[in-house]
Amino acid sequence: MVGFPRLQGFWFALQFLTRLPTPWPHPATTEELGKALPYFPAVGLLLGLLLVGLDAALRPFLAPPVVDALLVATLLGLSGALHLDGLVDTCDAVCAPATPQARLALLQDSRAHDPGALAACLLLLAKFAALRALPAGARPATLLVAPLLARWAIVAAYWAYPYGRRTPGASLALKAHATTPCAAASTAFTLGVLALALGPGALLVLGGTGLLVHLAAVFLRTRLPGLTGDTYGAIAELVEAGALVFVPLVLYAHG
Amino acid sequence: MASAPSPSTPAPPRRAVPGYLLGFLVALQFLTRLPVPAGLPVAGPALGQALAWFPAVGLVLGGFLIGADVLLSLVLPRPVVDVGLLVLLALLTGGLHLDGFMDTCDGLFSLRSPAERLAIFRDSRVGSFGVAGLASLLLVQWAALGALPAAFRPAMLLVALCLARWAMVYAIVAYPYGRAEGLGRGFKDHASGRALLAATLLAAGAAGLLLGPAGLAGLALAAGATWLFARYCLARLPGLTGDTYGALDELIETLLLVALPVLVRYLPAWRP
Repeated sequence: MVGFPRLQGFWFALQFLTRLPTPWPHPATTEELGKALPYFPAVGLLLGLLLVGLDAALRPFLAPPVVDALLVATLLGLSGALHLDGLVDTCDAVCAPATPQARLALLQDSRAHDPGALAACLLLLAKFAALRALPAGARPATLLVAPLLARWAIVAAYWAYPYGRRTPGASLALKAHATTPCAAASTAFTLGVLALALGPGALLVLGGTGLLVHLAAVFLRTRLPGLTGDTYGAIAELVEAGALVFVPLVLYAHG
Repeated sequence: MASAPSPSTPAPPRRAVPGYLLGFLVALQFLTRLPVPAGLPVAGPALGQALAWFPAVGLVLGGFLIGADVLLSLVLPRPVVDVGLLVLLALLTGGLHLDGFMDTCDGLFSLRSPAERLAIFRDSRVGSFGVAGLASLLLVQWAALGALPAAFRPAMLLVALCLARWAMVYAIVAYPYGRAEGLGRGFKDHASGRALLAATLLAAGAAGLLLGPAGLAGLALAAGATWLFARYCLARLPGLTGDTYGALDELIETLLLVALPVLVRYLPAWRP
């Protein structure tokens, strides 16, 4: 047994959500993976800390646009494009002229079609533009909380909306563990970090993120029988880009 | 217009291309869309000779980019010129390496068995990982082009393109090939330490002359990055393939465009 048994869930979350090395020697079974859900925001915080550190390390040496492009690529690489893959598949599926049930099959198509490719390019461009526009004062806090909010959004979406598939898999196991105590614990953790990083704007940022998740989920449920693993990834990417755009505004509105 | 041969005399046999030139032309034929004489060999020992000339092809491509850079800069602002350079490079190479990069992203980032990964390489369609990889690669390249210091811009373009093609030679010679056949197979079969030595001398000479110690540090950086990349690939594949050679070319090019300005700041370089 490596690490503290209580931290098992964190290691599983890290293994599932990132390409970072974990002290966990074997891939988590779907059963074990369920325990990971409450730790998703903690993994987001870790990614945020890595981004802040990388930003500070690179900025003395490289031109600002190069640093911003590398941050976008790093965030993508750390997650192994897990969530962006979900966005691509989700856009391909919801744009297809098909019934909601037939779209479930389209989500499993590993190829990228026009809507997905377009969405991926636009999303990465939006993140890059948002980073270029970050005011220096808001930069570390925004980089820190964007990945955190994205992973909290996944937990919130698991908890709040019906799951679309019946087939066993990672997402079904996670859905089974998306209980109210789990959602409450990860929300409390997220709110605590937000309060430390953003001060009085924390509630507004969390509320705005919740609203974005809700709007996305309402739209997705008009096109699909329920949410699936891919759509959680799409929501995470949307929230991450949204956070990079809007968190600086909230920081400035609160002085 | 060449005059048509008179019907009484048979068409003269194609003039034999001297050996050193043959290697260069075959390398051009494989790595670029530039016009080359028809009838060049596409298999056999000429591929081995071509390997030695890969870095020279990088210099030729760099020459085209420098020319375009000078001309476009007369009328267009820097960020637009940089997009133009990326487009020109994709056209000159026929998107060969970008295609390899996308296939490699699809094959290496999805959680599959080595055999399935090789099948994904063969699939000409693109997956999410390829799209995401391509978009971020081009973004980083574009940002890096915009940050090249003006005084070193031509030299850095030449060195980055030259060393990226050298890295392919290093990977082809030094690491096992993953398939029984394929575009890369012919190169691997005829690869030799001599070709790597010649390519290395050419690359080191160009990098050293153009950027001094910073250029040689770039060569060392490219070698280290190639070693890491090959280790990463070989942990997931039975061997390297043509697609991974292309991915390596793109990655080294990007790495050098980002790193050369830093190296020049901390190591002495020739002042133009």
